Amino acid sequence: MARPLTIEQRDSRLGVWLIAPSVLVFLCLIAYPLVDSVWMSFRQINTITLDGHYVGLRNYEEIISSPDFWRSLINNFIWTAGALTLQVVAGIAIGLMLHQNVWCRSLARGLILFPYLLPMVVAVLVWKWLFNDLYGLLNAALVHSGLVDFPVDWLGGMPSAMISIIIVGAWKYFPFVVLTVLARLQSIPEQLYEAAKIDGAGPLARFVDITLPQLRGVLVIVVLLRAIWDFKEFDLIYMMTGGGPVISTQTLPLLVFKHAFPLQQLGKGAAVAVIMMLIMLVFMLGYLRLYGREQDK
Amino acid sequence: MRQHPWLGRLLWNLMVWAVVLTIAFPLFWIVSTALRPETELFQRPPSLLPGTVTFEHFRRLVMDTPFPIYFRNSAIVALGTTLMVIIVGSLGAYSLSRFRYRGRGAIAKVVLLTYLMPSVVLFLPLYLIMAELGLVNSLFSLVLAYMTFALPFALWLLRSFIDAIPVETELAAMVDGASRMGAFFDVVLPQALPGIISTALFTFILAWNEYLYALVLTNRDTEKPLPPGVITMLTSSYNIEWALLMAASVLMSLPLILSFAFMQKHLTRGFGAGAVKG
Amino acid sequence: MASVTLKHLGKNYTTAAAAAVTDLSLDIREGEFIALLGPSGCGKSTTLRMIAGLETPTAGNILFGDKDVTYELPADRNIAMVFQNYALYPHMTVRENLEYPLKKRRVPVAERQARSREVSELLQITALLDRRPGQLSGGQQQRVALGRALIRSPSVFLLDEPLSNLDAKLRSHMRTELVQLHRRLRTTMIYVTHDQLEAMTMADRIAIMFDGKLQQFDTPEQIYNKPCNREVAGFIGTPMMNFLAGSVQPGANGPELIVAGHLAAILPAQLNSLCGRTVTVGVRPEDVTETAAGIAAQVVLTEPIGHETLVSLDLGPHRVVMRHRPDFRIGAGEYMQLHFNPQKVHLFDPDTGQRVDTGT
Repeated sequence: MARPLTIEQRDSRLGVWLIAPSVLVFLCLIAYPLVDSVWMSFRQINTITLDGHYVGLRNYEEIISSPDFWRSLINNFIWTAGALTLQVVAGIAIGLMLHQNVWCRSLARGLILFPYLLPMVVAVLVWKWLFNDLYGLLNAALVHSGLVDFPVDWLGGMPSAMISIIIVGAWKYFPFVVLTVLARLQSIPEQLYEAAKIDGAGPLARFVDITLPQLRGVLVIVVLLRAIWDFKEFDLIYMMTGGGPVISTQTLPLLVFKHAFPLQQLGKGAAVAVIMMLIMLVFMLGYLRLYGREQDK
Repeated sequence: MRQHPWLGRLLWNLMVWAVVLTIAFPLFWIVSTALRPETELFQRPPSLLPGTVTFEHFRRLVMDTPFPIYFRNSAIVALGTTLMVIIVGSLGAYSLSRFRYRGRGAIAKVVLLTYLMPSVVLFLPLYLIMAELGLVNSLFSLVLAYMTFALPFALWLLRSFIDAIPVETELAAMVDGASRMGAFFDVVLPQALPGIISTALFTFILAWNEYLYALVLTNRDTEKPLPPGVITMLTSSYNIEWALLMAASVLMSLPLILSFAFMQKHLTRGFGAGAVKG
Repeated sequence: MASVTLKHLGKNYTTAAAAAVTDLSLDIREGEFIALLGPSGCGKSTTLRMIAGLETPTAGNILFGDKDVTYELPADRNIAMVFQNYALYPHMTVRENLEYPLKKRRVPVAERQARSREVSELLQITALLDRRPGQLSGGQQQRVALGRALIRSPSVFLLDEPLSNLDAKLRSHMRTELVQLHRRLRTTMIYVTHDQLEAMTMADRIAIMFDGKLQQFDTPEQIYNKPCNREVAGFIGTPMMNFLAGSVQPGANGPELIVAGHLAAILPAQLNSLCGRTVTVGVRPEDVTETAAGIAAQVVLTEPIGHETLVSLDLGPHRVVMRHRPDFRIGAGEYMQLHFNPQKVHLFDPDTGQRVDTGT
């Protein structure tokens, strides 16, 4: 006679049914397209007609031998490094500031959070307006204060274009760092600081000996996360400069898009995307390991 | 400083607020520009505040441009995505939190990994799939595409909320006569409600702000949501009408501002928990 | 009302090396109040969960009356359970909490309300009916949990350390209330605890478990006076029973108990069969008395408690604690002569720990 199901077995089955829709979405919309991406990278496909044929590694060869690709790769690292540094430095500094008592502290915190929640389109629009060479406020202020003689064409020249997008990238995303830092700071017990004060430690010593070590774990995760997300940023750069002037702010994501749409070569675009994924895999695996370690704590 | 501690405090507060106001300045500038008449835009040097306040640009935006269509599309897609994600995500998060089955650990890790997945990698094959299915230029294709980033995020957030609910209440419900899923609806969902609302809001904002997938999957005004639509308004005209664009920016940010004002406490709490976990 | 029978119950988790419960058999009579007692990790909570149906045993059967319920869902067993942290539904009022089990059984509204009123009066929580659990004190929450369990008139009542979250004064008050409740309702109650005082004062019979195995299932008096092995003997009774190494030798007046080279007691004649054996001697502090001529022991410490004085002494290599009059004082280092009550001495096998002096 068959033994009836134990409650653990019934539970397991129900659990599987509950996760099934999510797994279905993953398989159809994420796993399959990922695999498809690799398959596409070995073909030449016309974006409009969708005709394609197998070309083996030719896409990769052409990409690796094109200066367009290397320029984009370097730009990607410059952009990531610049934006990341500013995000982290500003994030920590302002996080520390907002941890102290300030007038209307929750209002201040809310205002700081705003850039992060704003649609990227809006951020791009207002900064393009601020950077505008003819009527933008920034140039008006610079000329008026005598710092420059002529308005700067921020988005039309180098290195100002790269600097511009780094500034906007920092402004848009630093609140993420602020939030993380604040949350961590709030969990540091006050007694640690009190004990240190009694032992004679001044404010700088307390920061270096207590605050920084406590922040360390969270900061590593935040830096890794932001590095991953900054590296793959498309919207901001595409809308601000389109990769220009010429290709001096073009990054890998923009290159993927360029191959797919203006150049109508889906296969090549996919190949760049695959290369990008491989580079990022290193970061992502690093994050997974670190996350596992933080979880165990 | 020691003689006048209030002076130190005053300077500190002023400094912090100077920083905050500098960061928030662009927001002010959006509104200031949107409310001033066209002529004031080309003043040199420009003034900080509008000389006369006008709602002309808002009126034109709503009456004479495709903006309302974009707004409608954004609303439909964001609501659709949020609904799908909350339903599928709540059940999935409950499964990951409470049940034990083979592969659960692997699925949890995969969720984490896809949270980091760049849409840059997925947009090409997704475009191909949607094109082959004939779904290009449909709001449905956008909902599907948005789920690729919204669902992992929601699963991860919702799971942490459900983990925080003690399991005994479900056991008590089962002893009291509820079925397993009955316990979920009677006892878990009500307790998870604040978390679900936070997640829904975050998902809505994510979907509302999405640009790349919308850009790739729609090319007609009738299906475009706000982000690509508004940028089209920027790039397609010879004379860039900044005030109009600033007015569009204000309206585009409205749902965000409203939900933010409504959920201020919840946002920082939910995000803080999520942010620390990474 | 139902009797509960556990037959060779076992529970193995694939993730753990040792079994949580092994070969547990218990015959619980209808209307009895049983305590499952043991240290943490002994398997008592697992056993309770299996009786509730929240886990399925990997071996054995569970019967309610004549019905085998081993694979039945909790909802189908007509049981009620009170959890350690009460598990009240925080989003429902007290009234809704109480009525939930009835709602699940589709009891009509009027009857539900009548029952919840009845139960709330019984437990004196009528004033709290419209409050939320978050607004109640620990004791009040506990009563609501009890009420929710009572409202369906279950056949078996399961309680998982329900008093451990209360402060000492409230705990002793609730102990009395629970016993009175049981007397009134006469429902079969199975009560899990690690606190021997609770078990001893409340239960009709106690099932002691260590490491997933049942040690002894008996009335509190029997467990106290005739513990079946050394572990049980050491677990029950405060201060703990004294254990000493000894042997039984034949003697003129009867078998002699030798401890630390001296005669400790003359045992009853039935225990002659033990002559020549080494044993572990167990004797409770109240069964050690001062005598004119006995075994010499050196005082280490006296602890006047108020209603008695505890004296700790070194007897050879052993530490012995005895109870004495409340006004008794003696200096450390002085000597006393001790006598072990031969009727109250427990003898255990030094290797297996099992009781060997079956007899008295």
